[in-house]
Amino acid sequence: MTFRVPRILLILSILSIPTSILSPCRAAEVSTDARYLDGLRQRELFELAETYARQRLAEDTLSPRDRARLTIQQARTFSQHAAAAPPAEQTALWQQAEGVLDTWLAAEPDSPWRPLVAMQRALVALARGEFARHQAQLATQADPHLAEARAQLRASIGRLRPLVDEVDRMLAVAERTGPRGTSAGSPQDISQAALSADELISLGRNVRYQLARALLAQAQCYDRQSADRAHSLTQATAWLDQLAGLPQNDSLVWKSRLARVECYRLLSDYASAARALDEIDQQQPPRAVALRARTEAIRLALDQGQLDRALALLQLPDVLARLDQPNWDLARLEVSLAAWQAAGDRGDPELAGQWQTRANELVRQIESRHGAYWSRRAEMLLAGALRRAAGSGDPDTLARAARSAYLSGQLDEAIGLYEQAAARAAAAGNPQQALDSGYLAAAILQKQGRYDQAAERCRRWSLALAGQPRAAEVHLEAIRNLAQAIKDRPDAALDDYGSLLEEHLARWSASSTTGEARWLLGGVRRYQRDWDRAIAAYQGIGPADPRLADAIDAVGTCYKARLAELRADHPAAEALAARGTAWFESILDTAGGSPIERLSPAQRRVVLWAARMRLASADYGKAQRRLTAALAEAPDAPDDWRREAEALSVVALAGAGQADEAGRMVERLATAPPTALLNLVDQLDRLAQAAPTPHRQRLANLQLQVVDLVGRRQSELSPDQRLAFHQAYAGALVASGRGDEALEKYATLARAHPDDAKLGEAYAELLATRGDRWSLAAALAEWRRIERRAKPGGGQWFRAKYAVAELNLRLGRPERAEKIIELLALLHPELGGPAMKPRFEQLLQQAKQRGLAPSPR
Amino acid sequence: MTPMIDVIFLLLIFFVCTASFQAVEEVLPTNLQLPGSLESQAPPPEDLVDLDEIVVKILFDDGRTHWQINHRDYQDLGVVRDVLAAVARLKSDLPVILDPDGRVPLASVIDVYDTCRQIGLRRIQFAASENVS
Amino acid sequence: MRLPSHSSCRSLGFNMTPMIDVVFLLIIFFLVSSHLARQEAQLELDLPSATSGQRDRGQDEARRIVVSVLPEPRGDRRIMVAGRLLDPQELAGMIRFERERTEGDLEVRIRCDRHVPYRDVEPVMLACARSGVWNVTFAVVADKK
Repeated sequence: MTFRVPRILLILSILSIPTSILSPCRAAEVSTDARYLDGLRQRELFELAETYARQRLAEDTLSPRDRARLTIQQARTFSQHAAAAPPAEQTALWQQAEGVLDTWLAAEPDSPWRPLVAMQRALVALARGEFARHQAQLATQADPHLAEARAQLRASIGRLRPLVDEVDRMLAVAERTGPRGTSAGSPQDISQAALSADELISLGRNVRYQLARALLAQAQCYDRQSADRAHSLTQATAWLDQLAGLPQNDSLVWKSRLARVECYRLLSDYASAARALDEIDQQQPPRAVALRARTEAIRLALDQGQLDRALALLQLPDVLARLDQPNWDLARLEVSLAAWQAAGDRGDPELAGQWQTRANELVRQIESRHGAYWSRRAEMLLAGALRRAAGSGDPDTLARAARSAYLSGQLDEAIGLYEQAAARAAAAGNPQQALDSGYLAAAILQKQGRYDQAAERCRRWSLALAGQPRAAEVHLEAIRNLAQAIKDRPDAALDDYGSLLEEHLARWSASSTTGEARWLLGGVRRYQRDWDRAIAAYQGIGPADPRLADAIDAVGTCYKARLAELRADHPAAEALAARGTAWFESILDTAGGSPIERLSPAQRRVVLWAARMRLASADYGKAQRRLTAALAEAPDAPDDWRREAEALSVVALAGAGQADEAGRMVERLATAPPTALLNLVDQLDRLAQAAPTPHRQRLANLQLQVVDLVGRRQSELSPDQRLAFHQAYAGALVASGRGDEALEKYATLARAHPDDAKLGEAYAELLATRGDRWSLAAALAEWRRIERRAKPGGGQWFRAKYAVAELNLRLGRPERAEKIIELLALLHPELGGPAMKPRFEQLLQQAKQRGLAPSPR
Repeated sequence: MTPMIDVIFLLLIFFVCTASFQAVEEVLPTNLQLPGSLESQAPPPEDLVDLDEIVVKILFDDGRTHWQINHRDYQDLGVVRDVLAAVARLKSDLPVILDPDGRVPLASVIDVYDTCRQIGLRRIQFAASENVS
Repeated sequence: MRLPSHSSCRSLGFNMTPMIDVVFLLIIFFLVSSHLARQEAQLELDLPSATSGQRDRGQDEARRIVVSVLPEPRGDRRIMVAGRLLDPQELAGMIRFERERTEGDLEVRIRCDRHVPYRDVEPVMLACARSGVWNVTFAVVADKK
């Protein structure tokens, strides 16, 4: 992961290159165009500048000199744009800068302005090389950038060298021809025609300086001890010597002197470097230069290992103290780090600690004063020092180093450093920081996708520092990480997940995270079909939690599922239903006990569930009463809730024996959605099966009534719903004793929907209950059809097989039934699972017995 | 004497040349039936109508053959043989359809076929896939 | 002086043994060459083994076509009949032709290497079934188990 250097840094870094690089010569007059373009560039309005330059160049009225100048400005605009652009566009812009200049050079091979443009071309390459070198400093993978830098710098040097000779030649020519006589016109005309001698001299100096700079930059692209580096540095020194000895004290000369010091330092020629520094001091440099000189002196001292001298140099005279240069601050940081290391080597931990704190402070200062690029460099220095002085960092430093490692993409190192920082902070009695660092380490693991490790770490830290305010959140984060980790193999690790959630609830039973934890725990238990524990988890969700309504629904569903499981065990089912009802009503009652004017949405849901629970425990009267009360208390309830409540009341009334009331209520349900009505039919059906016979007729009538309601609105139904409606109709007919009609209906339905297996099954079952031979044969045929269509080995297929065997037995063919079941047992030993297997075995026994006895005809 | 030795050598050479160490070849008759051919369109006899036909799929993965009888997997030919033997005891004229996968080597197919014949199943057919050109 | 008697019949210088040798040699030559000729028609293949194989009853009424399926394709063809390599389509055509031509029963014997995957054998069986040849046999070696 490479570090994406934001644009602003690179602008700053480019601007830190002395801007005189990009201006070939200080002409006596600076054209307005140049100023305008400069202003646009400073405001980063690159496109505007480019368009303007292009427009101006398109005009025909330009003199060759202005044309040359404008081309140079255009190239500068492109270069600065390239430095500020995102990486994708950079190459194109650099190439545009180069292209513009190359076109001009190709178009006008003899122009007197050639050197200017040629120099600009070399400078573009130089800027590109320096840019690449800066990127190499900041990136994890330095090599591609260094390779690019070297290539560009080599190109630049290749252009600058012949340019020196060319300028010298032109200078000689100009001096020989001398200034034109008065007949030639005003000096302005002269300068329009060619470069003057002064301009050429200054151009010559500039070219030499740039060449030296290019060589210096090239040297820094090579390894420390390599011969290439030494070679380039020596060459640079040679060029700089020519410039440094000049008597003028303009900025170019100062710069060349400072550069010379740097060259000597990099060459490890400390004596010459010291000498050069002394020369600078003697010549009374301006303030900025003096500060730079000091920076170089400090670096020189550090390179020579003279820490004390460096420390002494840190003391600035007042005149320099208020200046603000990033290089100076960086130098101070280097000194602090060196002192830290020295103290560490000497075995003085306290002093080392002091220097370390100082270094941290400096890094913070650099970050606040000089922006991202310099702070990155500072952090990298810090990280490097930390690596060397392994094991002696304090939590702050370690945290910073970890952050720097993370930003430069060394995630594993960052994790290690964060862990160390957390351990140190915990030992030093700073639990908050320890928790933060530990959490950050886990966050990096999370980003890498190592969820189980992240979860483990979060858990460890949160448990170790349980008293901290954020510990609960960190633990919850551990839970989330674990959820991610086990997403693909849920069954294996679900127990661990559940126990982790329970641990959370045990430790932090009253924090803001408990709601979510309970919700997740309830979900887990539901998935595991452990209804009791799920109910317990959901019931703990407090009234203020936003998930309350969903929790109530979930509790209701769990109760329903458990009741379905306990269907055979009546006392236990009743006890459970009673408990459920009690709980639901307790929620309602906690709202004060006084009659509630309005029920909140959550309370409405509770009412419905309480009613369902009561119906499940056959307490119809109370359910009825509650529902009527609720309907009265919730005048503004949404319609579907009202329908639901009314449907439940119908069931309650029917169960309590008040069929007429129920009938009236059913009429009111005329506008209910068809699915709800079909649901109602279902419930009534179930009720009818459990009810004593006299009621059954009435219930069946109710069913028919409801079905009738749906029938009136058949056009609204979707095809599936229509099928369900027909089935319900037929079922209602059966329940009310009109079996023949039901049979006819089923027959038509079955013919119309041959693919619907459920319909087929219902039809076949109805036929089987009839008992006469024809019905049995028809049922057998139907079941055979279902068997052919069913998936072999599926539940339906087994049911079909069972039915076929049974019907064969009833039709007087026991040996065939025997063979069917035996063959099935051979091919599918599990015989449809634990539910079907005993039935098959029983049927087999019956068939065998029937087979032995004389067959009744 | 010498002629006798010559004769004996000649006979020796004759027998050496004609001795083949190849095993004696035998034949396995099959009963091919295409789906849709006249014979297979006859409705199944009444006593077989409710009984499943046995479909033995022979599959080949990772260099190992494994079998499926009516969608139930088996890894061992011995177990397959036992199941088929039990089926044969139940009803020996149940139709058995062999459906080898394309990659199964012929030896495995012949093994299963041989097993079926040994057990006594008489109606063994080879399934044909529809999309063979 | 005793004159040599003309009546003593000298035995004929005709030695019988080389004649017997030559006759034996000729016999052996013809035997071996016919055996080898027959063998040439049968390729060396690694046949699958089976225990319920039947001896070849040598039914002469049924005309027999031997289709060999080679373990390695020779130039992307694997099916060989009477020394000729065939495509599945050509084989189908040939079998159909033979079926129409033969008045009696036609037997197709498939001699296939045991390692040949089934998908190379299936076309042969399909071709036979489509042409109405039901008497298809597999050549196997007896399994001693």
